[in-house]
Amino acid sequence: MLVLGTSAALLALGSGGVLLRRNPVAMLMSVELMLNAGNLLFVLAARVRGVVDGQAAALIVLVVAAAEAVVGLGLALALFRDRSRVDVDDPAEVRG
Amino acid sequence: MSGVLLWAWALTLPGLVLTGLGVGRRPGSASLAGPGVLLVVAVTWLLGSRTAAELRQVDWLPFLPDGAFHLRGDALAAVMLAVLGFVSLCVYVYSLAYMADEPPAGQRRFFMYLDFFVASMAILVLAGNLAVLLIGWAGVGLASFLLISFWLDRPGTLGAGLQALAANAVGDAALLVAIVLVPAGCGDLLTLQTPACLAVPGGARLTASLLLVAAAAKSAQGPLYFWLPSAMAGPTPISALIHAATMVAAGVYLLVRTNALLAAAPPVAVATAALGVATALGGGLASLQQANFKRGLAYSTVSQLGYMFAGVGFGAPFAAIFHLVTHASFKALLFLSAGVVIHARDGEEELAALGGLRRALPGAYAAFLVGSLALVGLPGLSGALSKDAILDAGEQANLLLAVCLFGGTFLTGLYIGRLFFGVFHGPRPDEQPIHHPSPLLLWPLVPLAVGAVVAGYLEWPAGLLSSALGETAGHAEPVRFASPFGFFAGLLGVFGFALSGWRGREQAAEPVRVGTDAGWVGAVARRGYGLADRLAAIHSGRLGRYALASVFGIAIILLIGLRA
Amino acid sequence: MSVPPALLSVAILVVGAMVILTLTSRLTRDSTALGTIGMLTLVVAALPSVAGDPLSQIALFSILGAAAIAMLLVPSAELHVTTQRPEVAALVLLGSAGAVVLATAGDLLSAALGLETLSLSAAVLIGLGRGERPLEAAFKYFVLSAITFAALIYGLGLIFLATGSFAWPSLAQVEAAYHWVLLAGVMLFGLGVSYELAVVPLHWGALDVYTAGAPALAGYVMAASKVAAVLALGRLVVGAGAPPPAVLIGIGLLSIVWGTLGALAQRELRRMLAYSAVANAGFLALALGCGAEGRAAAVFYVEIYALTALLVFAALAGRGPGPLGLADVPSEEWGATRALGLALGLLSLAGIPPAPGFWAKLAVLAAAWHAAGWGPTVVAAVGGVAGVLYYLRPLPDVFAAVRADGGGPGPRFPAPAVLLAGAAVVFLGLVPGLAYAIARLAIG
Repeated sequence: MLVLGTSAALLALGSGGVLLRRNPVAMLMSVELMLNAGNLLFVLAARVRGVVDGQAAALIVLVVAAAEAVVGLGLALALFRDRSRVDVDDPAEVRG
Repeated sequence: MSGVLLWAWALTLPGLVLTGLGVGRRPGSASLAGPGVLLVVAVTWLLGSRTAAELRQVDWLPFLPDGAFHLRGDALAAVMLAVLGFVSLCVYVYSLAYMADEPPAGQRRFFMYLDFFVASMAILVLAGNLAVLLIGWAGVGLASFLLISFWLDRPGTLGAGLQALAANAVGDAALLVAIVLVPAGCGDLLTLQTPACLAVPGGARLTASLLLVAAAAKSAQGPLYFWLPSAMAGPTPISALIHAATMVAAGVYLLVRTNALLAAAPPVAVATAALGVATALGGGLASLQQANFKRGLAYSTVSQLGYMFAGVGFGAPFAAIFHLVTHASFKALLFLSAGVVIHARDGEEELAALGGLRRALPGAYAAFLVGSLALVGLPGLSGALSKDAILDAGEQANLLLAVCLFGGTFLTGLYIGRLFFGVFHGPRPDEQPIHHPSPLLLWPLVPLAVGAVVAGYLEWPAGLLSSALGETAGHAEPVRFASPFGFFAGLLGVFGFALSGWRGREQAAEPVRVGTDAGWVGAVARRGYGLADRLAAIHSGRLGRYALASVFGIAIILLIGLRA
Repeated sequence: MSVPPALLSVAILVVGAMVILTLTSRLTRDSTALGTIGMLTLVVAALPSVAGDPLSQIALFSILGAAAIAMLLVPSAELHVTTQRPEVAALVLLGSAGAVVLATAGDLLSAALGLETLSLSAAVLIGLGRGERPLEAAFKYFVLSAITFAALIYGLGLIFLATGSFAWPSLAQVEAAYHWVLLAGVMLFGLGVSYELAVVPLHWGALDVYTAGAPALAGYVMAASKVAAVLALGRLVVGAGAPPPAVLIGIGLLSIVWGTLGALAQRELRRMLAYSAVANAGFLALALGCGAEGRAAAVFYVEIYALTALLVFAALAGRGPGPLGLADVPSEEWGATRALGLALGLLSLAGIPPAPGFWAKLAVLAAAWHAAGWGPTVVAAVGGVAGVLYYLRPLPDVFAAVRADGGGPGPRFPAPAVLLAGAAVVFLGLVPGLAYAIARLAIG
């Protein structure tokens, strides 16, 4: 239960950050937090279940998160390069 | 010969390709052979040994209860094909002249649509099961849409086409549900009423009701009538072929084809009859209120299709088919002669601007008179005999409804008389020039007029049609025309017609009320589009909102799933 | 030890992408060589399917087929920097590798990796498009996919906690106390995969990508991600107990209604197609929730839908990235091949038989009737037929634009892609039984 509680709290914290932050970089950081909630669950579940697969999975997810961050920052940079205000709600040309 | 009948649907496809490739001195002339051969094939089959043929490629659509590619060429199909070939041949020839002012590319497109329509309609009547029926069913709907909105630069044509699509969609949905809900192995149009095929929760009533909804949508019955008057936005030859003679009768055809199912569900049969009678009367009243020539005729079609529905509902599928055949002749004749008038007046369709054209357009005048008299049922003409058959059946099945229908013949006389005298008699309202019709416009009226006069004698007195159709249109006995009911109905119609003439042109041309079209359709459409606009506006483009919606969406779905 | 065929294909795809990326400077100038290498890679990658099981066969055929059409479209894609065509081709190969992994993975962790590879490639592909709109769409798509991916990873953690392994889960093998953990995990994982399907309420990003991405690339993203997601979800729900199918039916119906209404409101062709993609995703989700018959119908549906969508997008490729208002359709330069391709695609999407899109809808309806009963069947039937009201709207204009006397499309028009996709659509329409039989074998 403690396992679930801690990781779920971390997940909620991350989601809260995604929803509240307007800065794209801060938003991406919050997503990383959500991913780490999953990682925590992997590692702790690996101990509960007594198999090491969980630890391995956590490492893999870390790598994936890094790749994701690179792509995300690249896209954010390209999109916000020419904008004076950095707010994720601003680019809203595609709508309706 | 019977094998050829099965493939009759393919006969117009070469014409479609050739016309598309630009073959022929006159655009569309390459398409002419298709309907001609179709007529010859159907008539030869009917005059010949009449051996029914079937083609069944099982498991074509393995996911359906009956997914065979199943064609059936029998007497009912042949009669329908003969009507289709006859009317479409006349309309093709007529269209060569009627559409001559279009640019060549437009003319080619017009004839390609027509070819596609005829092919789809032929598949529809040759279908052996529901799955194949749907191919034709959707195909004719598509052709109708394309042809209604053929003149895209005119205002309202696309809207009229979309109305037709919307009404058709209601029927298509009912048909789709019917196709998937029948038990495995069912779907053959002739065996839907067997006990094995009725083993669904609603039984015969459910299946029959779904087919009734589909038929009513296609044939503009009851509340689903609204699209047919709007469909008059299309070129007049289309109104004659698709929206009077053939496609709109497909609903009647479907009910006749599955008449055994309807017989197994008596309440639905009564509902069919009541729907038909109500539409027959409502359509007649609505026609009296039209300010537009073609719309007046369109409501007449709605009304006459009501007679056919009533016939099916009375348990007399043969009478319905008989009326379908005669109606195809005289209604196509009425529309094509109306087209001559409209063509001569450069597209003018308002009754207030038409009048006194009797001397200027004698051919159209005579043709319209013959069509009108056949429609009202002047004893001896085709409409009299077929309407008589329906009224006879109603007298035995449901006297109350039959009496209502009997009264409807008076309305028929009134409205067609109003159109006839309004357009051809009285003084000319203005001195606009009149283009004299080319012979190509007038010649097709001749065979149709002959048909309007003599089509009734296919049945009376020798019973040729009923013996040809045999089992395929119920247990058709030769119609006796014994009761005085039908005869008086004809006289009542003629009386109404004469009354219109006596009231004179001025009164007749004056619409009682303008804009009678279903207000509820507009209201529903506005509501629907308003809702759609609001829903689209939710997509604000803001990432923050989207993230919020995604996170909460996931959370809510998770909670619902875990509680379940 | 024998290598699974799908894995071999993935390796070939990645190698092909690496080769293209290595030779970038040379291939920038030589588009023929680029196309040859790309196609060659796809053909070689398809070869292992000979030895594969039905699942990997169908995954390889449909995903690599979509990639092949996309490869034909690469020269006509509107890019921000036109020298980046090799990167685009490489990303198509990498995305396909991800899609194949997602569809055929032996365990859930690999599937998650495949999904991430696919969605990262997709985001970058779209982001490379010309103009501000593709970039904006790509960024939104990326952020939302990252959020759902995090939920998916958390779900994977829950599944791992419940079962102690990353194998495709089965409720029957889990002790009762952990049932709800597994259930929550499966649902989170499934929702993460559903993002690729673009069902409501996870459709926001995909909607913008389908609207604003360069047509050549948006069509590929749509096709590859939907095919892979359907196969993965089909395998996920098999052992997951009753609630996930019910949830799928629910979000499927919601998506059908939502997408249909949204499409009706549109006055722009691309946006209309995007909303209709949501409605079609609804059909897929509905089918996936309807038992074995439904899963087969879903695979059948997605094969046909992906192909048809590719046809439509191919017909729109090369005309420029901007919006195409429905009122502007007549003034567009069409040409016969393009107009007929678009018309065929629209007819199939609208469900006019014998175009295959109609058979697909019928298959889903039949499955829904048996597994879900009255309500869902009627809603789906009405939603399905209502499609004619928006799909067919531009059709008269498109037909009217077919002129024998010129008015042809621009030089970048990808006729081979349109012809290939069009031929496949016609074939599927006339012989639907074959594709359905394969679909049944793939996911029972």
